[in-house]
Amino acid sequence: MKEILTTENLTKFFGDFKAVDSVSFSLHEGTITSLIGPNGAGKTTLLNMLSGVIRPTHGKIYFMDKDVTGLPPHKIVKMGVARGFQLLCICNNLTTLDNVRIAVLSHMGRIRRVFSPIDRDREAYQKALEILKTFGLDEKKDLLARDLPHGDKKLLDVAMAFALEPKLILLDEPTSGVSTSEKGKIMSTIEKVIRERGITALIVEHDMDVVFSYSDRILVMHEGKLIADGKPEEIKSDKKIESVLLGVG
Amino acid sequence: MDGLFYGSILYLVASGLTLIFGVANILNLAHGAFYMLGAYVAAILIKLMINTPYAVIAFPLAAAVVGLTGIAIERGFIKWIYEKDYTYQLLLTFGLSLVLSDVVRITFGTEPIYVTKLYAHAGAIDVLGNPYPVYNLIVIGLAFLIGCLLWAMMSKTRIGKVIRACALDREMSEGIGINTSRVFALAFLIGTALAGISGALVAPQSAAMLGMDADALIQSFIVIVIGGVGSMKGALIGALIIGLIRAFGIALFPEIELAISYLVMAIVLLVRPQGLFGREYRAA
Amino acid sequence: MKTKVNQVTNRLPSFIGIIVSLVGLFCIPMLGSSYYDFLFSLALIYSIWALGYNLLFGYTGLLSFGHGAFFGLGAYTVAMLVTKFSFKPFLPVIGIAVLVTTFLGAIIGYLCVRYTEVYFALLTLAFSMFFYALVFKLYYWTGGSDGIGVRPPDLFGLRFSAIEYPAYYYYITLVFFLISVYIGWRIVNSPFGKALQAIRDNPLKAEAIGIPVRRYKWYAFIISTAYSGLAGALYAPLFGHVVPDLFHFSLAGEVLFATLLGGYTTFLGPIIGGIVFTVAKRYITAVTIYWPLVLGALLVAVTLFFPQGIVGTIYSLLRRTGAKGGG
Repeated sequence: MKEILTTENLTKFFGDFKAVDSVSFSLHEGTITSLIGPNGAGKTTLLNMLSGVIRPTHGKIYFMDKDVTGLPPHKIVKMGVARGFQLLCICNNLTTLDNVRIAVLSHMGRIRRVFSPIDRDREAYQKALEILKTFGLDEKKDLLARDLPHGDKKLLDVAMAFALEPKLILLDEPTSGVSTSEKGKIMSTIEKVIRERGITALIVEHDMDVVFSYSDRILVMHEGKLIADGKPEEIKSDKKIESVLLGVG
Repeated sequence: MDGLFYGSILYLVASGLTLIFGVANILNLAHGAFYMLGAYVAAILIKLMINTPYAVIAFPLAAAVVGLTGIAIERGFIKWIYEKDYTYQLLLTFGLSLVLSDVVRITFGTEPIYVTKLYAHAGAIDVLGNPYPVYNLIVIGLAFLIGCLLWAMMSKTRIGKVIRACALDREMSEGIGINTSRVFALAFLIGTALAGISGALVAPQSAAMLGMDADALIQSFIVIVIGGVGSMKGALIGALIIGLIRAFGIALFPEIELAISYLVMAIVLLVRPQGLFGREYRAA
Repeated sequence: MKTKVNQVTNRLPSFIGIIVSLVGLFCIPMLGSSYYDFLFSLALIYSIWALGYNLLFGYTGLLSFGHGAFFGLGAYTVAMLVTKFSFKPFLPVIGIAVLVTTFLGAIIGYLCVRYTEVYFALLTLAFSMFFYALVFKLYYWTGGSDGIGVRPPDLFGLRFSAIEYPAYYYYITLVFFLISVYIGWRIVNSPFGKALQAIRDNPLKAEAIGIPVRRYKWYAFIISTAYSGLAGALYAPLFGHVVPDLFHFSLAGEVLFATLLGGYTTFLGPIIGGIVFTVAKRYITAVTIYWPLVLGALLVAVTLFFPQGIVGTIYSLLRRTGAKGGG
């Protein structure tokens, strides 16, 4: 199985604070990897570096054998990496449909069109509608995004990422703030799409039940360092890790 | 030397602006108008009392008038938009600046008011072989004094700590029981009073005239950009830099004096967007 | 939670409403009074200006205090071309003015869009005042505080003075207005237009879906400067005189207010705002010399109590009574 993403000694300092400390790992194509760890372990910072939102202080990131360290987000997106956010990140004043539609148009390279009416692009509309259907949002397509219930907003955030037809998707707590009953539904939808399209995924998650139900592999971070990297069974039985997660998280 | 004078005036008005922005997160576009108000009030008062030694009362009085106006405006208008998008605060203070500067125009007329008598009265003394106006020296000294008082207040007194806490984190401060609303009002009071006194102090040296508000606002902004927003130290250094630039500029190349200030600001923005002592990174 | 400035709709009034307005606009000169011709020419100019301005403000979420300067640049370019350089052909003059303004707008915009929010606004303010001071300093070229008188340009061989032919000037302005509105309409309904709104709502997410945020902000800035330049260019022959005050930030306050008054949350708002503002200003300045005071006070009032503006409020009411949905 090919390695689609590799990091080498990825490090990030904020002033004197070492948020991420020499993290090295590889993701294999088509796998779902969970990134877990207590709060403040550096998971979101790692994701920020991988998606180009912030630049690493040291270290390298290779995506599909190309060095993407320090590239700005929109360039990384063009290479096939998409991102979902921890805190809600959608365009509140656009409709649900439009949120996904602009992602679709961006992926199709049509977002820069200045004179053609957006509604005339049937192809983009259809694609957006399909994605909405996959995530169960098509009934609400004309609602303004800010009027959606919380769980749907999270799904929209993720749906926009999927609209980019990425090869690698980075999700940051896709089920946070969602009621337990909905969590299962959301995660299974996400997992289904990922598996169907052979997307590689790195998912930050706190809910251990969720993590163990779908992960091919688990990475554990603590205080900026990667302290474990292995299969779910290995991680589950590791008492040291358990204490780390229970102790602080 | 003149650079120090300009710098002192600028420091006072800019520190007021940065205080308000640092604490209440409001960029007071009306700040220049407060400066102008201070100049006019002081000028009128001085004219009234020109032949008495009590003329110096004009300065603190002007500062007080401006400070009270500031707090009135804050309570009456500004407090409604604290929680709103930055756009509202800019629009509001912009509108207020138009109102305030026109009120000044209506009240005091369109002609500049000169009170150079007081300036000349202070005389000149020898500095490094050249005569230098005593007035300027007094202003420099005063600015220094006020600066020290501000520093002392901020770091030593309880109220100073409260202000700094609010500046750093409003929510946290509210969480520990600080009445942030009152702190903001206080910041406005001090900030606008600073603008008022700097305007008052500059009046005898040049004049109280219309249009000085825009000039002061832009210059203060440039100073804050260079020094870093929310930083009193930055306001001081920035003001000195701009003051010196102005002094040299006017002496050597009057035409480009304006451009140099902008140039320095542009360079600072490109090289170190948060200013010399600023804490936030503000590039898009 | 900070409440953000928002944009809701490109909705237009019904087809009939549009036809009626167009007919109305065409009929203005038939009222027979050159006063109205002047007034409405100016109103349309302000509408063009506000429309372009709102592309930056309402749609992209960038508040600029510098667009008075671009208006002034357009006006001064026209003035200098016809008066100082005796270059009179009307359409090329307007064209050059727009190009010059857009070019400078591109440079200034490039510097300003690197900064967010408050700093962006202040930078635009600073640049505008820089031009203001510059216009005074270069008095050999710009006439300093006296400004420049604008000689009438040539249109198709006709000495096209707005004073002699107010109705014709109005119709020409109307043509430019309609073209500007049409172009603006196409832009806001395009993918690019939606991208701008996405940038306004959530620049992080916009970037995350592949939109080059800074570059698009720059484009929006450039387009808005072009509109301002056009408005200024049309203004110069109408007024016959240009003065440095055009660059002062208080003029920027006018376009800002017109946009707010009309309703920045809509496409139609700034257009209506431009017209209403111009008419209102005429009447207000006729009865009082305290125009800045009134403008400032109105701005404060609208910001505090009426931020949705005329059209925004109307749409809100319509939506609440369940009329046809927006989108």
